[in-house]
Amino acid sequence: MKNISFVVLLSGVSLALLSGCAEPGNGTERAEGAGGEPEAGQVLHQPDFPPEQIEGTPEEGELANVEGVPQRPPSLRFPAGAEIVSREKPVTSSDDFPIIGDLSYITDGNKRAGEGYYVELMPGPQWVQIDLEAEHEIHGIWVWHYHRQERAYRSVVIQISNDENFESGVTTVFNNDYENNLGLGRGRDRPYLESRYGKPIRVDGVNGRYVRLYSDGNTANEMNHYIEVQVFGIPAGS
Amino acid sequence: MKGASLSARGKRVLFAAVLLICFGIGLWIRLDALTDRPLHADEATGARLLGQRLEAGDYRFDPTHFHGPLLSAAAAPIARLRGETDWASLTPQTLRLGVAWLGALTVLLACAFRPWLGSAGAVGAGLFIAVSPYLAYYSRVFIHETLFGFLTLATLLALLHYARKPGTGVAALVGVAAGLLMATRETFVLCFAAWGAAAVLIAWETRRSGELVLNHHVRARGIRDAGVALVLALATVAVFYTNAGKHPAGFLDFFRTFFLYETGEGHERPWWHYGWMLVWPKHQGGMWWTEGAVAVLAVLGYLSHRNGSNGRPVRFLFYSGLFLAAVFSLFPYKTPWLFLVPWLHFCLVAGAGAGALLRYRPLYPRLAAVAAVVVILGWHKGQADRALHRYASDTRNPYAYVPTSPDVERVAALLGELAELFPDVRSGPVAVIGSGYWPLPWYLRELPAVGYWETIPEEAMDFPVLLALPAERAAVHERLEATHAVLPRGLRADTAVFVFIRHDLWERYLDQDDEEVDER
Repeated sequence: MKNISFVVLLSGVSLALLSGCAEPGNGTERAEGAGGEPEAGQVLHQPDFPPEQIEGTPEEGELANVEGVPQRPPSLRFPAGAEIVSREKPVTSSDDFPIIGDLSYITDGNKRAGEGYYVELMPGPQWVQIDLEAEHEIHGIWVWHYHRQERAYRSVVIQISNDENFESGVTTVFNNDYENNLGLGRGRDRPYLESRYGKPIRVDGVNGRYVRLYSDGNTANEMNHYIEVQVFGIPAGS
Repeated sequence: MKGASLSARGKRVLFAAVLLICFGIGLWIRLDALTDRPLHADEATGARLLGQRLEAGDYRFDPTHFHGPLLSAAAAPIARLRGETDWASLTPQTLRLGVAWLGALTVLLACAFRPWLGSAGAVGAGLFIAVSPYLAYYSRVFIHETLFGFLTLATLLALLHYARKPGTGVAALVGVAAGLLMATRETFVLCFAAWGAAAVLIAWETRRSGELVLNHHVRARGIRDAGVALVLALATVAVFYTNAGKHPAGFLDFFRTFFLYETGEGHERPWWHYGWMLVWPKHQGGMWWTEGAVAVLAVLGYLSHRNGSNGRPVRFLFYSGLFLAAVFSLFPYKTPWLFLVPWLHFCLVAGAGAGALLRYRPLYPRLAAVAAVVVILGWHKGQADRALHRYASDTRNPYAYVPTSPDVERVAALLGELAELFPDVRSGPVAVIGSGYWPLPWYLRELPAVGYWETIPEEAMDFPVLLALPAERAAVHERLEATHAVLPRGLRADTAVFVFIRHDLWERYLDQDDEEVDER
């Protein structure tokens, strides 16, 4: 009988504690509508906004590019003589040991999206750099980050330089880092959704040997990916 | 005699030490960087319900949605202790702390199955649970399942104790544990059904061998014990479902929920889905994922206990696990966390299997068995590291289901920055257009004026900021193309959210520090 009494007593105490018999605490008061005090002659109007509805587990999204991507293959115009000058060229990165894949994938010409075709770099701001092995007059860059899923890469910045360390003579040819996460300046280029067509970027004949591409994760996760980068140009002085 | 006594005591001390190590491993895995992963949509809705309970000091059970009341009832005291008394002040740490501890305590509960699994088996079961990437992942998610798993093992433990040494006190414990299980989620009936079916199967086996003898106490007082357990279980149910008597209809709703509960659409999977998720080896994200060794060891555990009365509890656990696995596999509705309870059963039996391996007499096979178990545990721990950290919100993690994109935290930061810069954003509204937007309300709860519309409202062109879900993106874009800039951002790993910012605000945002703007 002692056992039962003990169990019942213990259960009662536990249930009372758990079932919220305690009075709710004084909630932190929050300012309602932070629109500021109305000026003289004005009336502050705050309409009712529809509240959130508590919903069940969301469905899995479509893993396909269905919206917001080009419906036709895009194209770029180059001066006569311009061609891909990045094929099989050496690639270095801020992440010396990619999580998945190899940096050589970036210039191997293969644009498929499955495992074995992309390189995955560590989370946070990372860059890859293509050494064209000689100075070129660059007229276009075409980038495929990852296109198995509808996603956008954050803080995409592309620069060209003759300085391997990008400390001098740097020209930025694309920058959609509108939050200035990379500290390279707030960019005005538009963020874009990845697609199998890649992202073509026209360049106005900028001279340089090295092309560096930055990113800071993507809308699906914090990793950085590259499938392929193609640089179009003409050897300088030719 | 004294030496033998010391030896027995030494064994107990050793077992306690090993048990503490198992618990420590489980707790460390579960608490490490607990808040790094963004809040899952279901965690956010659970937080909303908890916030409502904290703010109103009340709770009403909804028989159509959201499972039982125990999760929010258990989380409320933790929140109050941490000084979080409303939806706005809740933190991920508070939400997940209790669940993570329960996940680690489940390791201890598994070790408490020692009388039926043996010392090595109990420790093995505890370790399989401690390092399981699947179980550890869901021990860090504020949903009902880890609490449900913990209470399932607690009820099982009490039941097995009663079967071993019947007594009214133990029956009362069974009743309270079962009542708490019933207050967690409605799928408890499947556990009861599975245990009943397994007990019938065991009785049939035992009767066939002529060993079925009811204990004297059960014969004399079994009905009274069952009555005590039932009364305590229903009393526990009544306390939680009526919110300590404030809403008596809650008790009736507890029964009505079995006829009214609505599951969401879009979660239908084939019958083999759970086998694929846990057992079938998959190469994703640069590594192999599988916990198939647990399934293999569980079969071994069953085979090594298939005869004799000593093997009955292990067979009971195995049959229960099989029954639950079959039922959850046959239901078309599948979410990864639903399989947690059958998997816990299999982990217990796998412990028995590991224990059987370690009982090999010849030294070398025994050493090989020890090495194999250590390798399995190490491999599972390696998978857990990936699942809980690097791939916590990544669709390549087989356990992550509609995970929230880490980008959503940056979206919230961007909107906070805009609200600081521009009074228009502060006075709002910030409009969310579409459905399936959770966990956005969690991340936008600091903003003073947020509205949620299923379709774009007439006055939308004047709104400073809108967030459109993919299904509404085209309609919103068509209406706001001339007036708003659009930024694709992440909501869930497979779902983008499109942020529309009125052009005048966007230009001023970009111009705010001209000196830093790209020279281009």
